[in-house]
Amino acid sequence: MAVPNGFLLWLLAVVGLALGVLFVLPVGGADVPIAISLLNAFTGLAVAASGYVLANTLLIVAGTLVGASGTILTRLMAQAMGRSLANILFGAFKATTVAAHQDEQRSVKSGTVEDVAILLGYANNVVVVPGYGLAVAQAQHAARELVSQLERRGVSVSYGIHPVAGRMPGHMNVLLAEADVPYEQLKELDDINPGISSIDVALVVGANDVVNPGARDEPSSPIYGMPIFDVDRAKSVVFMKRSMRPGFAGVDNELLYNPKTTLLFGDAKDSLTKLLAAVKQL
Amino acid sequence: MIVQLMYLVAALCFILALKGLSSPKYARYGNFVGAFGMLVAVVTAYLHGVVHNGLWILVAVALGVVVGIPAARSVKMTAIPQMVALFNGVGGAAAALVALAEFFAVPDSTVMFRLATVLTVLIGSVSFSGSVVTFLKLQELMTTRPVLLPAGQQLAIAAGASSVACAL
Repeated sequence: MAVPNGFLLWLLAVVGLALGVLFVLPVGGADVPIAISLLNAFTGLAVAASGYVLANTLLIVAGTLVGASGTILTRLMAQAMGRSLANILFGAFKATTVAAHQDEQRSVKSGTVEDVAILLGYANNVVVVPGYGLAVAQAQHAARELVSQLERRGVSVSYGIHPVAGRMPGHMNVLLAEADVPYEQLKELDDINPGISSIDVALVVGANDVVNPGARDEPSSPIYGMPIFDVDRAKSVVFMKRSMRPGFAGVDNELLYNPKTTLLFGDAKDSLTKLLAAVKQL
Repeated sequence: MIVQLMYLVAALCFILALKGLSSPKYARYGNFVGAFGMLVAVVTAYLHGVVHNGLWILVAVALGVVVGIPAARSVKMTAIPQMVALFNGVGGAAAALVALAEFFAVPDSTVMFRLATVLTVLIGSVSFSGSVVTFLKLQELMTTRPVLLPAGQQLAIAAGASSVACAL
């Protein structure tokens, strides 16, 4: 190896900067957190290498820890989305062809707050599936209050937490912990899905892609292969949405048109507060 | 000797922190242990390090505190991923800058040293610019859709190849 001179080293820094931009630009919105996790592992490696430069053991140790844990996290996130890392980083090149193949207006069933309150209040068991919309609306406290009220009525309630609910693994857990939701109520995919057909109501609050049956049934769907909550197999579904806009991945959701589904339009926090009042009235 | 021992303490803290962070119940405790380990590391490095830069180091620490604490306190829960991305990118940039500075400070270097320098500069700068783009995407300051430059893949390959060329 030749002696790198100063100029080449600066040039290398510039090339590195360009490489970083080129590497992240093709990554789609829903996959960006995975890119962050991978870049985090890169930073760990850079720090470990700088430990060699400075002959500092702690930098080597800490950098290696970050690099290793970042790599593991990246792999886990990719698995949670049912995709390979290569597909996430370089897979954008085919996604453009999956245009909206059905433009005609399809009918959906939307309900009033009172309808939904009756549905929830007289259910035996309910699963709440929170998503990024809940976080945006800061509705975690309202959700917890509604759940407490339902429990007082004897309804058994659990939360279904998808590994990538929110934007990163653990994001939703932190949000709900902030609202004093007990950890025991937070259930994962494998806890919920096997018994989902005996669930009376699945309450989807601000989630979308993680309950999209297309990920399971529709090989042409860009999110095909991602593990989901099979809420379409529950006895009924309440889908709280702000609008008919598709989720983070920009994919239409068949669940919205399912006859079992009742849509409740509105801001998540606002709707949950109204629901709480209506359940109290029952 | 005492320095190595303190570094060992810090390293242990980091490992315990990771362990704690892997369960929601102990995550806060883990975060605290990690922060403590980092405090041990920074203080040790400062006391051990060359004293002639002491003032500059303190200025840098003060700047970091002034920027970091309000940012971490005021960030919305929903915006945590982008903040993580930004802080992570700054870490990569710091590593790259340290390696650049060290390269010019050490006149007669070994092959191992040069290899480590080149790696740090390259990976650190990739991490920095990549993290900035992820921040822009999540903060919706730019489109969140995949951006496909014409011949983007070829450009990336070219950049990768030229980086290897620079390194050698």
